[in-house]
Amino acid sequence: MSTITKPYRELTFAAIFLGIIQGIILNLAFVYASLKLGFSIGGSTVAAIMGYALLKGVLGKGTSIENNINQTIASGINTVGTGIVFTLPALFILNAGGEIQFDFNLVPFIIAGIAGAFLGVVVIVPLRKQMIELDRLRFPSGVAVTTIIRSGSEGDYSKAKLLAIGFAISAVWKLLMVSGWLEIPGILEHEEFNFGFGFIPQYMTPAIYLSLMNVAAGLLAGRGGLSFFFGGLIAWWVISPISVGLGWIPTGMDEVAMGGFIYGKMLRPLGIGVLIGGALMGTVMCFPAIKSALRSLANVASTSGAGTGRDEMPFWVLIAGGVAAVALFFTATYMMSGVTFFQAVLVAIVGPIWLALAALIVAQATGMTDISPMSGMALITVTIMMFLLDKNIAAAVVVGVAVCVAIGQGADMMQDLKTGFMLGGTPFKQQIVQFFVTWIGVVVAIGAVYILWQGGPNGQGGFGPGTDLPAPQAGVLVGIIKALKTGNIPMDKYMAGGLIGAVLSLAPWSGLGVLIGLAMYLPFSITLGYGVGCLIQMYLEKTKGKVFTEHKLVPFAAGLIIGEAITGIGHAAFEIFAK
Amino acid sequence: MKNLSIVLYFAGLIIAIVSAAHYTDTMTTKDIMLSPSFLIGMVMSIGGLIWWRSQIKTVQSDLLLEESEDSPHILITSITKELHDLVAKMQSYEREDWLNHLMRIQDEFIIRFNDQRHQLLNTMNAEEGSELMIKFSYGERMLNRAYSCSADGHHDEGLHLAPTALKSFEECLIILKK
Repeated sequence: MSTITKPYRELTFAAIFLGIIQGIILNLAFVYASLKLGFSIGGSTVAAIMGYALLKGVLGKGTSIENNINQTIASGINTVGTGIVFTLPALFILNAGGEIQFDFNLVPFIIAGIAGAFLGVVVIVPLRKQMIELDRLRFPSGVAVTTIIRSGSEGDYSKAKLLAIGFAISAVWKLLMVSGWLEIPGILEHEEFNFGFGFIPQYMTPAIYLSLMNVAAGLLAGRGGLSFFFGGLIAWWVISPISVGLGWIPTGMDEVAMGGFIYGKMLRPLGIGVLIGGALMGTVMCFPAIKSALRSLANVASTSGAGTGRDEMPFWVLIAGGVAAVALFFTATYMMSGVTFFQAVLVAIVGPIWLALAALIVAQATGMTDISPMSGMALITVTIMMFLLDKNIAAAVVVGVAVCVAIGQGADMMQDLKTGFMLGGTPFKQQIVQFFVTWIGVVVAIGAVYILWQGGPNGQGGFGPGTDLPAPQAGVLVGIIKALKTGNIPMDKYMAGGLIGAVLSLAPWSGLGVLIGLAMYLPFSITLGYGVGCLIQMYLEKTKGKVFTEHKLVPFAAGLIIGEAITGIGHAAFEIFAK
Repeated sequence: MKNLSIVLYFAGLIIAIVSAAHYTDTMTTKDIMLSPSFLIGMVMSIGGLIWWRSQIKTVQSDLLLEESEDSPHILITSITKELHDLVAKMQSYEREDWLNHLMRIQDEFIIRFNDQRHQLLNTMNAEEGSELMIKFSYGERMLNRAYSCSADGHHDEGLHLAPTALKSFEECLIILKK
């Protein structure tokens, strides 16, 4: 047997340093972009491309799995910003509007964010085997990042060419869409093509989201994502016309308003219930896998790889991290004014349990469809916490920060672990770096939000409605909090949905509850675009074979995802600097 | 009969979902849960589910006995045979041949096994099934690492990983023989 001449680089100082620097830059950029435009963008693809250029191009010695470590760190730090931007600015806006009194002590929010960053990793590590090795969830963005990293090291550049073609098509298409040149009022607006043409009622939302990234996620999922598509069909082409036919919709509404009513009052809350019930039952059904995973975490000998060292994060680190995070959870809540010791203890128990379930739901949804139902999880979090904390909004948002950071971490970690699996990386090394560095993202994002707030007149009001940074996501949470204050919680839909989700997850088709719940929770235009991708993949697999789809379709679809992501970032930067 | 059980399951679910979607300002959880249509839908779906699950094991055990080349346990056996062949030849392989052989194992056996794995897992005890997939995935990840090593120019380290992957797939066969 040949001798090894030099070690294969994986966890190196260069990868960690580059990952942290990229993570901080992406975090700052995307916090600003989210406050300005109302959407966030994953940074894994950018980090992988930059990692390739710097580690391999500049240092001349980077490897695929070293780049995997770099993008794991960068996306981990960056993703934290999404959770912060979704929650904390709502409190600033409510304070400015005189809805609450907030003293701007950000220490509890930093502590809660760090607790969330730790717990997101702690919760997701034991689920790696279940989601990646047993359920084989697709994680489309993880596959796209793998294709980027692999295309740089293989001698055969045919996949790199397909990646580049997909990238170019998607980038040009995205530019056409955001430029508005193709817009036709009533037919093609806001990147949606309405194919009703007066024949299909508008309450059935006959529209498709013209995002090639969305179609590409379906191309990567194939048959596995089909139940998501069927969930959308049931919601919009079965429930919706039946509701109208049976006279369940208030009179005097036009067809578009009917669609809005059906979505807001019926499908979305029911979908959240189905998602939660489906994920809970899914966890129960996967208990043997989770048990095996925990056993293998505890048993180092059986999981050590040849020459790769320890394979999984030590069990004691998870336990210690979990305990520390729960203590931080308690401290952050107890520091908020008006919170009693008993309430803080209750939150420190219920909060992490709900956080674990929410992280599981978001990781599963992302794994199957690449779509994260973060807003739904934030809604439930604030609902539960306002109940436990006697409608103390600021304290409920503290927990919301922790949960949103954690669920973002969980989904991101799982995407990166999928990339690691496909490249042959060591999960332990990815897990340990994410565990120890992502807290940086909490400090950076909260600092950025505070500085931007102080950028307004008289040192406050730097974002929110009527400013250059309208913070649309925080606006959604403000709306939710106001609705909760009036006691308007659709518990009937959550409970019935939960029961339906549980029965769906008992079916022998993996993930049915989560997929159908997610389809009901999302607008139909997204589900339809994704479903078209699934059907194309199935057709190509049937006519051209599995090898064709793996070697031709996967790199092309990865290119479509990356092309739209990069163009989206470029467009966001252009919007910010141009206005 | 299996198709009929699936139809019953989904028909019941659709009835329950439509019923649960009904919204009025005064609607309570009790109103939905105790409505006849919701109850009928849930009973139909649970009945269909029990019927469906009871048929799965029989049908899939029959499929496994067919010993077709797409049968998951035949595919695991083929992977170990291929890896024995790979380990025996690897010292004489050029880097390109090695990468091509690894890719062939991936395309012809591993992807197909992953597609067919439910046939096998549905007939196994859940814990044994998990153990099998964890071993299988470890072997697969070692092959992925071997590919990355060689593609990145660390060919020697890539070669070292093939026997580790082989051992993992052999452990899968031991679990299957149990």
